[in-house]
Amino acid sequence: MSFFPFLNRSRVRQDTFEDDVLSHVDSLFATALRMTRSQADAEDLVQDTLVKAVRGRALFEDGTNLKAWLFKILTNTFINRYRRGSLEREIISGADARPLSDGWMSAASMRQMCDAESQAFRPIIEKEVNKALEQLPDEFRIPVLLSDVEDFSYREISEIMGCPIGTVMSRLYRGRRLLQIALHDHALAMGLVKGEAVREDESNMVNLESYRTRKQGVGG
Amino acid sequence: MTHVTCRDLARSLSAFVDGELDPTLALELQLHIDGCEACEARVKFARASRTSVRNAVKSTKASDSFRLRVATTVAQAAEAEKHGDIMVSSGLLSWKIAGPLAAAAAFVLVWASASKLQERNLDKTTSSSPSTSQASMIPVDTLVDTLVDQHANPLPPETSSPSEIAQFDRFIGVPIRTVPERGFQGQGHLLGARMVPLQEQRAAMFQYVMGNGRRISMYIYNPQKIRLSNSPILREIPVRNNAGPVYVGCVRGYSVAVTDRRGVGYAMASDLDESESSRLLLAVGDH
Repeated sequence: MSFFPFLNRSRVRQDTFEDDVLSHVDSLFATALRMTRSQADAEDLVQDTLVKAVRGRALFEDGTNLKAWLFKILTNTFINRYRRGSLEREIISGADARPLSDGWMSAASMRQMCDAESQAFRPIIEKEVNKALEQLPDEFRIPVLLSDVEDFSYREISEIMGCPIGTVMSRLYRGRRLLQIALHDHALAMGLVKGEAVREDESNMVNLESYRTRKQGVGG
Repeated sequence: MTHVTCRDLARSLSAFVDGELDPTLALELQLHIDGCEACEARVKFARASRTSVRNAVKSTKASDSFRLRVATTVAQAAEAEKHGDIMVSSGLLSWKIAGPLAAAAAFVLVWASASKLQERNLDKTTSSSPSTSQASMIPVDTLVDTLVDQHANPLPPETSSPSEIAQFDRFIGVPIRTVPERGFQGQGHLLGARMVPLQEQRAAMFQYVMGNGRRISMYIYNPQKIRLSNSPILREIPVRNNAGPVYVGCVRGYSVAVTDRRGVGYAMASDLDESESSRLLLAVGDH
């Protein structure tokens, strides 16, 4: 029995869907802000997403992941409005074009950048994360946000972005490496780690094709 | 148990940290990590990267004023949806969104009065039916405009490999095997294909160049999800073989032709004239 029965009377039963949708405003806004890099655009994008969700409510299958569905609408709306309908490949040049192997940083540098207690990067590095994210091309930034921040599975990200799982994996891989390289550069500049050359002998260590083959083998 | 090396970990690091690995392999890797300081550092670093990105982004909250605005807008949209009424009367919507919504409202009026509204779209007011229209989410003339935009300012194709194009099937929900790979009736050639978003759905877009330099963009989509033929911009033209109607129109100098064949939607935006493009489109459908 509610303390405010008159409130219950005035609210109809179907309100739950709208409430559920609204409960994701912060998550959607945080991602939208990184997509558009502008508060006003992010607010418009989220509002547009939620209105579409309410209007297209019949398309949502009960029991499936509402959050993933909302992020799919958000991503599609962003791509349609700001990217002329596609996540165009952005050319990476300059410092970002360095080899993206796992051997580019030593275990010692990795330890120096981490904070044992928080199991995150040291605060002085963490405060640079937003700037590093901003510099990532959309096609890499979006999967990193969906995975790292929202914990969506590879399959969900593939549904949200409308691309194969292999593409999700390679974009996540590249996105994270680019981010980590930017943060490593910051750590170097701050004198937290010592500069080390990329160890070319390890630059062939990660071969995505062989990884996929191997993963399929393991799965099957 | 197989012997796991640092190289194995490097290959699977992302998937390991994301919890996407087969549990047996994950366990083997964990055993290796427990005994290898360098790999332990790699895993900690990858986890720290995840956590720091999450920390940095999660600290962002929507402002209270926005929260209030969006709650009002959502309530209005829900109310309008319940009454089958999409007129937006409040100034609470931002201009960016009010424009398209007003256009949508105007369009639905035109659409309804043209009595092209199909049975299943009419039960929107009762709203419990799972078949409630999604075609009304974006006005169809805006959709036709989008096709023309994508043709006028084409993005480069994602692929021209037939095996990769075949992969598009499961994202667009209809088979795309009937696309001419070598151009239309021996004229012109296929530059490549890409997936494009259309009305919360995906369509495959094929780009061709004809011998005379004219370009054709052909779209394949699920016509149950994307209803282009309802557009008031397009007019129906008679077809010789009762194969189903073809709709054609002209938008900003480009011709548009739309048809359904065996449950697959085909649309074409091109530099050709209307009769030429509808003729080629029919050839594709009959392919």
